[in-house]
Amino acid sequence: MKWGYVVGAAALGLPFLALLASGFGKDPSAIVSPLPGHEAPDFTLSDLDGKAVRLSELRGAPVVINFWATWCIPCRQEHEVLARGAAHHAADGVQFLGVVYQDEPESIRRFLARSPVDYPTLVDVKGQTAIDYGVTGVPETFFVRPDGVIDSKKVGPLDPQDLERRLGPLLATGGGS
Amino acid sequence: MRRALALAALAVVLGRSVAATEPAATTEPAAAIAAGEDHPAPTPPILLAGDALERRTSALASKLRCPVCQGLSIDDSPAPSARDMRAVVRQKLAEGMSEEEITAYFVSRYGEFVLLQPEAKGVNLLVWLGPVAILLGGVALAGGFLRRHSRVGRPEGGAPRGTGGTEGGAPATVESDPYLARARALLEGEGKP
Repeated sequence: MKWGYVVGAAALGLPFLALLASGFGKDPSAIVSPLPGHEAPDFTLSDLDGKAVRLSELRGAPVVINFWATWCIPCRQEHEVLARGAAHHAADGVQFLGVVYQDEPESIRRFLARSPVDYPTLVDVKGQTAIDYGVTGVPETFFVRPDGVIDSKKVGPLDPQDLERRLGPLLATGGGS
Repeated sequence: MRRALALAALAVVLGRSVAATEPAATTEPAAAIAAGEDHPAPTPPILLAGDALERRTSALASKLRCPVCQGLSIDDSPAPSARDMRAVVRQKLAEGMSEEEITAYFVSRYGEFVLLQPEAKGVNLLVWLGPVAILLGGVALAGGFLRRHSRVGRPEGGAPRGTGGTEGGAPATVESDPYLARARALLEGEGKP
């Protein structure tokens, strides 16, 4: 009789505990992006001088797309990492792209004058590209393989180790160089 | 009697949860009719404009979660990214995309997280059926407990307390209870002097 209760409570309680354990084991603010494994949504965006870049024209080379903004403090720390990474991997044919999100051309210009980068900085004027990529905040970085498929997505600022680790599979799949 | 009550309660709960899932399915056709009253049957893309477009945009936007807010729809949020997402909804509706297609687009980019009311399928069904299952379990448990308690309680509670054990009317089980016997002996011993 008593054992019946124990078994019943275990049958009800254990799945519940398992549910809680799996739920609390994760970062509740982390949202799993459905994009990795799918083709990167194409876009044509212009930089501050009006020079347009179309993503699909970069097919054949690994692409790193970084969504950022000048008002975003973590993006400023990340900026240096990306600038160095881009310089370091220029020989590997990796194309870096900065996409500025919800920002003013004037502050972008001022920011880039102080800390320039060697890759295009594009302006997502209406936020359409950010929505296409399901961007929920900045910084977010997408790693696109040479075949145009998104390999991974990083939410939050990249550190050099993370950048190298995520670039690895992009370079392994046969770069454009 | 008790069972009938439990069943009635269950029916109410089930009815309510079904009703809660229904609006998602019913508002779409209703909105479509409202938007194109003069177009009968399935005419290809009715180009929306003005008030009708705003109404449809607002209706669909209220079902999509603002990713930078805490539990707000993009219709309710003043955040710039919610405003941009509303603009995308409006533009796609104006281009003639259906609500399902637009919803599927947002889900394909943001994941199911973007839906304020997730679809009732797969693991999500737990949210719909879990409370009903727990309620049923509780009713069964309470029913079983009450039934057992009333069956056991009557013979014990009736005889010894009401008529008093000293008159000898109690059943054999009471007579053989060592604790009761000792209590009785003590009481008698106290009364003698």
